[in-house]
Amino acid sequence: MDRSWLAERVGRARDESFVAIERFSRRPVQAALLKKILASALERGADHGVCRMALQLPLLVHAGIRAAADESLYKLAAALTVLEAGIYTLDHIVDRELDGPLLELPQTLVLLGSICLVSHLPTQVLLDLPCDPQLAGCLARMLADGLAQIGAGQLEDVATGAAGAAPSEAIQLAVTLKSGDRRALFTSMAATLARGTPPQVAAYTEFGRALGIARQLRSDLVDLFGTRPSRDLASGTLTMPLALYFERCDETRSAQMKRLLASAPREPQAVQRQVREHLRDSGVLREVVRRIEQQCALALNRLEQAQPVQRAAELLRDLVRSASVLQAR
Amino acid sequence: MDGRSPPRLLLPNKQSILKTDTNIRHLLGYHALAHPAKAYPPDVRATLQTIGTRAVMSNNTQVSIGNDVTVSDFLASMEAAAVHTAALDAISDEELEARISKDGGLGSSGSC
Repeated sequence: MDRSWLAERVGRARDESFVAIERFSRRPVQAALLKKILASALERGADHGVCRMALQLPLLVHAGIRAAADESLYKLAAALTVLEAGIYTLDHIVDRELDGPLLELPQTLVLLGSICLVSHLPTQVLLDLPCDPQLAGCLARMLADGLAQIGAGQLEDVATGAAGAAPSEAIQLAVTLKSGDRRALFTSMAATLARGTPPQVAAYTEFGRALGIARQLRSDLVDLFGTRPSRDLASGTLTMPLALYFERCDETRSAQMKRLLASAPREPQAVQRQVREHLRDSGVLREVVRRIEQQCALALNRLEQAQPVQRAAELLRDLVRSASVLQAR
Repeated sequence: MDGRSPPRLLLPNKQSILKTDTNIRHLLGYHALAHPAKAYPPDVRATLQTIGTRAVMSNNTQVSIGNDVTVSDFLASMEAAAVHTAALDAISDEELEARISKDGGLGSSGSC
């Protein structure tokens, strides 16, 4: 499959995101900081989430509707990339996981820089799109509404975490708002810019939402069952697998699990191993995988409805497969 | 077909469902395709079954159960769930964990 055209567009949109920072920053020191944060988020390569979701996803959705790319598309992808880099960095600040060059900077600076990336910059880029001003205004409004939705998701996420053992429905709501709706925003904006028909825009919106939810649930499993120490156990974050476990187990097992989780900071590896066993033996592992697969099936179904052109279609399907446990290549 | 319009689909419970609770409304819309029937609260499940049965009987499965999700979508999701369950059952726990540990390029949770 020829991916060179996508690589070329990703490269151009990536460059455009640095140009946007240069253009809309008020002071050189501000531009330098924002570029450093952006570079740090992008440096993990083409397969990393920031690159896949903020650069590839909107470019592919646009290509699914309209063969030709124009300057507006690259600027839209740039706006979404700086936004994604800001969210990504804020997430790392909250989880105390900053690394690389950002760790050498005062955390307050990184925080302020990230806020610039999620606030004024994407809007400035969108309002300056070289397209019909009405369309640019529409996209800026979509962004504002989407940010409100993502913000609500983050608040929901924090609230469920603070609650200790939140119901899985509350976790699902948070996942949908903060991850699903973020991808829905990206795909709907790309489809709108491409002048997709209302049914196409709706199909791509649902595609993005399902893809985002599937990826988040998969990421929650990777965190617990992957090769690296669990970030969520270390930070005490309650994700879908544990929420389902608490719903399914009796009081004795629930108390056991809570004691186990409380000891995670002291014995992270042993706790992670035991948590895996509990999730596996209780059937929760399979339940989460089944939910992931359902979201992937929904994403593929909506993609079929959107009827993307051939060369984009296969790459969009690949994004879904990368989230799937059963279909992964 | 006798030339008459199909009977109008009456959904007496739909409004009451939507009013019940914002989470349920959310569930009916965004998550209607994401959840198996057993994930719904019993009263919602019963209502969905009623809607589904009427829709099938009246040959109109395009009726919406909220946020553009149709009965047809819902029924398809039930079938898909059965397929996934069968595919999952064919995989051992060890194989499942091995597949999950490959992160699929998801990166950290901040970029999902």
